[in-house]
Amino acid sequence: MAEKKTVKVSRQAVELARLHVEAARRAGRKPEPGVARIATARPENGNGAAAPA
Amino acid sequence: MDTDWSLIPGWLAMVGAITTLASPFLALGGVLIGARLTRKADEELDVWRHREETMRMVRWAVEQITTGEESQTDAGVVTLRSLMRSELLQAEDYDLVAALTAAVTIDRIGQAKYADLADLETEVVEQAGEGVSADG
Repeated sequence: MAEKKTVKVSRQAVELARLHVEAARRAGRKPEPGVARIATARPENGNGAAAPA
Repeated sequence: MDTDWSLIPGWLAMVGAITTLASPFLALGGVLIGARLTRKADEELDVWRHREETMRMVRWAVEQITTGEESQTDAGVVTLRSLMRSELLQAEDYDLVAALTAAVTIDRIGQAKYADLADLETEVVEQAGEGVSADG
């Protein structure tokens, strides 16, 4: 079985992605799927839950 | 010499009386309409100034974000978020912010890594330190 791929992103990228999701929601649009995934990134040493926006 | 007032026709006397009585009200109406138009123009100017200042703040925030520095990016993000939550931005501004933040986010992580996110099996992890990397 292939190893699960992991993409590590910086905190700033996550913050920007969350801002994108919020702005898209307020604009009445769907956020970019990839950016939305970044917005829900789990912390590297966390328990798997995404941090609140 | 006597003036014969009866030479003025009755209808003309009536028009004169009505005009005399109505003119203050017409003047008042004119003043009210003028004041209303002035206030409307002031409100439009205020909205324009307000929007100008808001867009200046958006531009400043985006400039901070695009510097790539951690602290400046944070300042830009906080400013944009505060603007959005204060309801100062209009609907079309949210579109602009959404497009900008998406572009900067993708630029930050790189096109190659962003393409990896299309695979739903790929796990996205927020790294503790500064910088971007990918493995797997």
